[in-house]
Amino acid sequence: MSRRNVLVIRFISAIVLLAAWYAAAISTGSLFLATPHDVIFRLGQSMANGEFVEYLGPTAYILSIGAGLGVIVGVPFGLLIGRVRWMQWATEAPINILYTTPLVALIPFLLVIIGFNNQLKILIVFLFTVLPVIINTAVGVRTVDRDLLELTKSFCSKESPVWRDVLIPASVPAIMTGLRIGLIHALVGAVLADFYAGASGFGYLIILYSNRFDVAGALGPVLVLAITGTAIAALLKTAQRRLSPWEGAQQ
Amino acid sequence: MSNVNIKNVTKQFGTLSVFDEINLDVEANEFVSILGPSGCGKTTLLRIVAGLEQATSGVVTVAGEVTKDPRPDMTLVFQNFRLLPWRTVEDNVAYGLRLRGRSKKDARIEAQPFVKMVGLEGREQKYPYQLSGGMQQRVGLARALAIQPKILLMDEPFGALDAQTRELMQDELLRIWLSNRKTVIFVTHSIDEAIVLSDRVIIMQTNPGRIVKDIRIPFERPRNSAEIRNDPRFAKLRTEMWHLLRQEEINPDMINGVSGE
Repeated sequence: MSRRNVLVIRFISAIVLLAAWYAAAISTGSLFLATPHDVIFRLGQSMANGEFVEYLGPTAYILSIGAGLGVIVGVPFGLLIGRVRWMQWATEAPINILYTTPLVALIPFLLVIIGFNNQLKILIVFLFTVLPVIINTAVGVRTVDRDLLELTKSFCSKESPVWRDVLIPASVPAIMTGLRIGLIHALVGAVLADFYAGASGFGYLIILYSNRFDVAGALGPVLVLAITGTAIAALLKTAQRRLSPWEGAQQ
Repeated sequence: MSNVNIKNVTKQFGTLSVFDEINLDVEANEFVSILGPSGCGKTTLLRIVAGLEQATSGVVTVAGEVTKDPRPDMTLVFQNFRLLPWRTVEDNVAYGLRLRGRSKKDARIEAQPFVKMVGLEGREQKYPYQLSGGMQQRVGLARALAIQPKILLMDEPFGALDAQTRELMQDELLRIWLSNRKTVIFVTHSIDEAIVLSDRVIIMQTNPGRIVKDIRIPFERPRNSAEIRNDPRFAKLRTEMWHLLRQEEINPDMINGVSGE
């Protein structure tokens, strides 16, 4: 399919989606669903009166610390458990249990232990980020081409050059996938943290507007979150292609 | 010295015997091919010499030392190239040099003559996925030669290439080996390739894997593969080898084994 056709299809799909939104908003009435232009208008208002930035600030803060720690801890940890057998066996079960447990269910317990504060929010974001990062990175290391590992052996390579020459570069695509999923989970974690753990932040802004029956206002931050998530995913996908141009080019 | 001696080497995978009691002596700077049908264990034998697999019994000595692990003075060229996809041609050739402690810059400078030797000048900055199969194996060959090993092991290195590229690569290898002699053990299932390249051809058969013949190739060097192929002695050697390999296929035991009960 040509590039132009792809663009046309995407454009049509966007138009259809927007039309559906209008149709739904108009038929249900503004008390339940706001029209797109109302949402944009209210978003502009809340940006102009400073509310937007006021509530965005704390969330941006816990998001950057929590997700940052998640990546800094998750990547090396994933690399290690991907390579070192006994570490894999020791951590596989707890990581899988934690990953399959809906983390939201743990928030009440963490709340009791830590209390309503930023540490709790950072911990929630961290947990949401770190698990997919660890799991994807470890899979990346574990699925490195055996033939290349044997090549390093036949050249009498020591362990540290094996990391430099093969393990890390071969794991880049999987690490990037982990980052993509991890950072999107981080957004979810941040909003949940705002919902459950305190009267501040971007998530709380959504609740605040909803409680005032300001549907258009509440949908503004949601729209911003959706755009941010999509942008992160697209950015990391581009970075992945740049960092590992051989992927997909082989065969 | 860089001779390779294989003494009473056997290999079993569980109860399956790949080969029994293989004995083979390769002299220093000799080019020896091991020719056999698939399943005769020729690749396994080479991998045991390379130290990538262990013999069930018997010993391999390289330059007089019993060898069970890969050695720095010996390299293996693989059938499937095994280049690092994230490294340029130049850096792939320099791979072994980096492992021997050279800086990135020194390794590149030292690798340059080998890039040239295999005819890849001007392609130093390309990545493997941008090269044809023949060129990729040139990189594989240059990488193996760059560490200046005394012994070169080659596991069907041209097996994945098309017929024309394969003949070109054989001529390249003849030329390179002549200017830079070393002990070579070359595994192949191509009769022509074995005759064109080797000083000696070892013929193996299957069930169980064993050496059935050791044939000296009389052509003097430098050789030209096209000329050799037209030589009447080539045809004779080819027929002789073909019969040895074919015997294998119509071996009555095998036929009985297949039609079975």
